[in-house]
Amino acid sequence: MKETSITYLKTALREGNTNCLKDIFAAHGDYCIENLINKKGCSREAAEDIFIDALINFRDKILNNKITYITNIRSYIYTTCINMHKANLYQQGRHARNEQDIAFHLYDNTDSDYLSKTVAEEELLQLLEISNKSFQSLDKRCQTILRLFYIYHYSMEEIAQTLKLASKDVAKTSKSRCFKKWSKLVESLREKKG
Amino acid sequence: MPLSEENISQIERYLDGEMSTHEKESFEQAIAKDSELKDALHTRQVMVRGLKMKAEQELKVELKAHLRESQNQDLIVPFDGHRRKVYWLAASVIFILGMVFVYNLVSNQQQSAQKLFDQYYSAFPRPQIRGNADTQKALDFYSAEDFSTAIPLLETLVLAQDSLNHYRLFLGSSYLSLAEPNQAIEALEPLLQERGLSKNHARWYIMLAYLKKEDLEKAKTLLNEIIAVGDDYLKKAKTLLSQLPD
Repeated sequence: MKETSITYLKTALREGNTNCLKDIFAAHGDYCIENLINKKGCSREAAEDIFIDALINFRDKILNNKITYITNIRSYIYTTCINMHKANLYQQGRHARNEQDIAFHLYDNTDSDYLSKTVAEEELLQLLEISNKSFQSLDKRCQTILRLFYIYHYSMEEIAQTLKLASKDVAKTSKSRCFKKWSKLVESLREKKG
Repeated sequence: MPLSEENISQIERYLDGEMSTHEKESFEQAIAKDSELKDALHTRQVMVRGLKMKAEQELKVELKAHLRESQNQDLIVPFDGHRRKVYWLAASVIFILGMVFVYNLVSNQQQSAQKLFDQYYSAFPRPQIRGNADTQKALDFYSAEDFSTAIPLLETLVLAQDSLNHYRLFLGSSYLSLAEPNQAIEALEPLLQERGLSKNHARWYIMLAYLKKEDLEKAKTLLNEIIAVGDDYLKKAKTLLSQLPD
């Protein structure tokens, strides 16, 4: 894949346009899913989940600038599928898979040790719930700024351009203000819940 | 005790990777000593991670729904019985075109849009479709390259059976064969809203229509899309993009 094509995907994804992922789905989904079923013995449901996770992983890497050039999109995504399948088998061997998805993702993360040691799973889920609820109660502008920064990895300059702010410093101040507002909402909700 | 504004700012800078190595080390030492600060950092790590996870989960739901829709609407039903033949035909066409492309790569010349159109365009191959007399008649004219006669019949088929969208491919291809790119784009554009193979074919032929119109910017945009998606037209798209004038 040419660099310009990655640029095209990145631009589309950063605008929240997921059609390009659906196009990739249409072009490579069957190949990856059928191979996971036929060559790796996955159930259809597991193969579909793995493929979707691989696609989301691909999207994250593009947004994070971890992929700037790729020669074969199908090989890349299929290799990710295989690695995820292996990771799943490893996990299944070590843990009973009765954990909730959300906790699984957190424990699977690189800083999982820190997270898993500091709070119990239930507290963690409660915190996530409070955090999401607080985020929803933020005003739309704050939600947009925080989403652009943390999910779509916009720079302060890009945030300023997108939201027509005077400068990147104004964007930075706005983002900090929103983050503090969000933090305070989370803290106050946590206190209320005891 | 509530956290100071300064602590919140420090945590934010730490999470956003804005601290220098020295600052980071000092902050990590402070966390090790101060359990409240440690808890506050953890809370904000969970907040940010949770925000990303929520977005991922929403996307996962969207992609799963898309997968179910694709499974429910098999958009290439009429091709199913003869898919292998169609693939062989397409592979042969691609092979022959490939040989032509190799020749052109060797000659290494950027060519005019019209020349490139002539080089890359071939009418959409007709699969063996079983249908009623009207369908057969339209496709027979199409196969015989009598596009002027085929077009009104195909228009009727498109209007009557819009779900069988491959008629749009024949219609668009007929217009392109008659050097009417605007009508071709009009006929093919609805297919871009579809999924699967029909969309891939439509994107390629719309790109050719723009090439015919010498609208190179739009043709290049579509070529980049084809390359990004990596569908069956990938190789042709890469070669054509490299041949287009700047």
